[in-house]
Amino acid sequence: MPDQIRVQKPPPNEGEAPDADAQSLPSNLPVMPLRDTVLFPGIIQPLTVGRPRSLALVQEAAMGDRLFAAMLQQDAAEEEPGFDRIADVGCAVRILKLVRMPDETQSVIIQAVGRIRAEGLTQSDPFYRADIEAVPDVVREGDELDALTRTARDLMMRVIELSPRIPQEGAAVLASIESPGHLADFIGANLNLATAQKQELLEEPRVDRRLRRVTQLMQREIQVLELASKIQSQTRGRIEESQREHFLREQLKSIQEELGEKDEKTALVEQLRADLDEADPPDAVRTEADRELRRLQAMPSYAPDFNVLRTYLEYLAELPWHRRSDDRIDLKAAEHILNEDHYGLEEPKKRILEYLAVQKLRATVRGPILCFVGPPGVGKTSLGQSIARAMSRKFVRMSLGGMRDEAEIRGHRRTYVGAMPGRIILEIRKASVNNPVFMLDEVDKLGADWRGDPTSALLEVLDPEQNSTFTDHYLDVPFDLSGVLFIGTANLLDPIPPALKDRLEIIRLPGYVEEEKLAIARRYLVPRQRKGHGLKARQIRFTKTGLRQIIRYYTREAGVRELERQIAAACRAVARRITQGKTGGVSVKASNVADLLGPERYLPDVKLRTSTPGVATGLAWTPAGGDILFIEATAMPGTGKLTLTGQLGDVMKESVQAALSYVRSRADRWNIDPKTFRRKDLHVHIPAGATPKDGPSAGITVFTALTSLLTGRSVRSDVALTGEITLRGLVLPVGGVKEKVLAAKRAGIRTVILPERNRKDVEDIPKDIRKDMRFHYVHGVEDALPLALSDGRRTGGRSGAKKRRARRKAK
Amino acid sequence: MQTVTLAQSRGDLEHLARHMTDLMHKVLRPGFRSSGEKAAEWTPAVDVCEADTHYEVIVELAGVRREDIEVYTERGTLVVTGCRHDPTSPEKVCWHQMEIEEGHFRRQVALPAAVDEEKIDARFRDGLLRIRIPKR
Repeated sequence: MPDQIRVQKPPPNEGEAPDADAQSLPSNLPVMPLRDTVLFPGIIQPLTVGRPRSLALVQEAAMGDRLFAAMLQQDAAEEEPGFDRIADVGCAVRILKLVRMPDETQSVIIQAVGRIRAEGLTQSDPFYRADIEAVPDVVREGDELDALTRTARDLMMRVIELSPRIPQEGAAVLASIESPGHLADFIGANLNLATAQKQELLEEPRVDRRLRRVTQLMQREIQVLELASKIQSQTRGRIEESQREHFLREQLKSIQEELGEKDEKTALVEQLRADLDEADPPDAVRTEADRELRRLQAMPSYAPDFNVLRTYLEYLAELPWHRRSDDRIDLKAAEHILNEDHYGLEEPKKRILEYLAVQKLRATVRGPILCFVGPPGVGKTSLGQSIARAMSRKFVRMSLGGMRDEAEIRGHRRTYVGAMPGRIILEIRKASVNNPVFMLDEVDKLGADWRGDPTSALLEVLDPEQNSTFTDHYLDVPFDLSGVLFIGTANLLDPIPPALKDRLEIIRLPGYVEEEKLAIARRYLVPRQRKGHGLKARQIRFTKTGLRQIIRYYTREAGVRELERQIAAACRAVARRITQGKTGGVSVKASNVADLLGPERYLPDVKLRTSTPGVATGLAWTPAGGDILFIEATAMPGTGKLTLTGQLGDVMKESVQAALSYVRSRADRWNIDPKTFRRKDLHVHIPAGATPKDGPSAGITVFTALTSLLTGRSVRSDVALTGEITLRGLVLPVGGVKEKVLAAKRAGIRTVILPERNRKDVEDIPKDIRKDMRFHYVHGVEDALPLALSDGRRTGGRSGAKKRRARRKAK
Repeated sequence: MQTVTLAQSRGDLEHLARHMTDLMHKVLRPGFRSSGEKAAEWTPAVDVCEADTHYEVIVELAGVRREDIEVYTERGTLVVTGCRHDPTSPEKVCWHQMEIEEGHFRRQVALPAAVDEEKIDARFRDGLLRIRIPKR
């Protein structure tokens, strides 16, 4: 059969040939220098041949038996090394494959077939040729060699296991290598060694030494590899862990989105950030806020602090850091507004307009803070509102009455449960501008106790030097209050703490006289109440006389609150009647006021009261405005005692004593019998008995009352007196002149007797109030008597009648 | 020596790289060294299949002369050895590319116990050596 091949017996075994290669090598070979490459017998290696001599060498070898010698050149930088610069020991190699590259180099794959030594150079051009001799392995069989072999094999197994460079198939090859020499060469070829180390191994013919050396090198390599492996697995572990976490979080987000719940916390933080951007606080505040925002983001939403922090950030974002009302101070318009809103009050309006003019020129709110002082119901708060309107600013109001806790002004620190900012910041927030008109009502009613002193907190708020960095305890960041226009109101001046009073510019609103009240009622009170009760103009109207009636007999006040209440009562009554169908409209005149409001409440009793001797009309000052009072004196048989009643304070009591002493010392001047003082007890009473009174300004009035009593001449009913007296009879000036004069006018008094030194105070009073009144200014007490006392003959009373009979008898 | 530059396409480079890997695997196959014989310079590809009655071993031996092939069994191993002579013509002046392996080759396949070594049949045709080993 043509294709058949006879299956033979195996060829005879000629015994162990030490090295099959040795026999097949020629004695002379071309020599190629290698750069930085050491070959070991058995390995297959690709080479890139570029140098011209080597290229020629390769071609010639390929044309022939495909064999040549390859040795390491000592200096890799040399392009054409001399033969002596090439190592003696190298490998004989066979060309397995060859390909020419586009750049003229040749890529060859060679297999090293045996160790050789170059004996002598036989040719230099076109490339080296030398006589070569095989270098056989020197093997000393024995246990030592076996042990070395085994150790080396085991170690190399470990290296193959650990090293990423050597394919795992290498383990199979390793297992199959029988010869110790080949084993050492295999190891040497595959370990990560330096060129010099490899050449050293190649040059060692003794196998045991070779094995020892590679064992040493492997041990080092294994250490490095093990460490590298550990690091790698650690890193991988870490990466895997963080990747896993990331992956899970992404899943969670997707699930939440599917459910329609956005990550609420992030949404909240984003919202807060956007709000803060809009609010645009100053840098220091923004830094703080951003820091807290990051904390908020990091905090789980169920943490107790979460809501606290969130509330805080919401406050920060809501405060008007930069939002302000544009100031438009048009003085003409301001004047118009003030007049439109309030009747009268010329002095306060003048002061306000001056204040506004200064603000306009200065463009900053600095300087003293206005404070309106006056009785209730005169329009202090509404003046503040008018000012706000005139300046086109927002108006906020805070009552300080009864405030005892400093934390109300400054807030509590965030660490306290339920902490909140102070009222100042809260009101600013409500106003949502940082320059409102801020009215501090009732500054005279601030309290102070163990919780702190709100006055001191207020001082910081009101001080223009300090309030640009007002730090509320809750907010813990400064807020600029310097744009706020603070206005205070008070009923009394004295209770205002001095440090506070110092910063205030006091404007007094003393109260209204009848004419002013009438005008106010007609312009403001009546329309307001009418509308408030749903009545049309034709259903109720108030005549002037009707209003006057109400003012005189149904109110007794400096302001208009009671008046408004009475007007409201009238409206209510009328409304009731209209709905009951009893009437279509009512005109409130003097005659039907009583019908609507009931009987008169306040009777002008001046005339009646002073109809007997021993009563004098004085003028007092109360927080509710000025008022008249009566000093009554009476005498009874006794021993000269003096009784004082009427809830008199010590100062007043002393002034009564002084008055009495003065009368006694000058008794003869008025024909008073000195014996009277020994035979009679005197009683001075100042009604009303329940109202406490104090002060020295009734001195002259007491004196007049006593003199009136003792001379039997009554005091003129249309006269009132005020003034402090000395023991020598001088009249000292008093305070509250304006209020007292107004009170006198309200009560129907036409003549007022005052100390000389109060003349200028009277001149300060507007003319239209002063008209129809006569003012007498006295130096000495006695000057008052001719002005105050009537001639005494006419008026009723028993002593007068007695004297008249006595005189008639005498005639 | 003429230096002729032939345009080499990228494909050839890849081919070279593949050959490289190929060789590595061939080298690392057990049975690389033998004693008492010329060392193998290359190893041919071998297919081994099983049928109901016999095993079949196919050796890829293109370009090898029939008289240069030896087949024998030794200690339960089937050995195929031989030599491929340089296929290029003697007129060549230089090499551009050398890939076809030449020289001595050797492959061995371990035989299962239940075979009849006496009845092994080897035929060489179309460059493939087919060896049929009947089962016992």
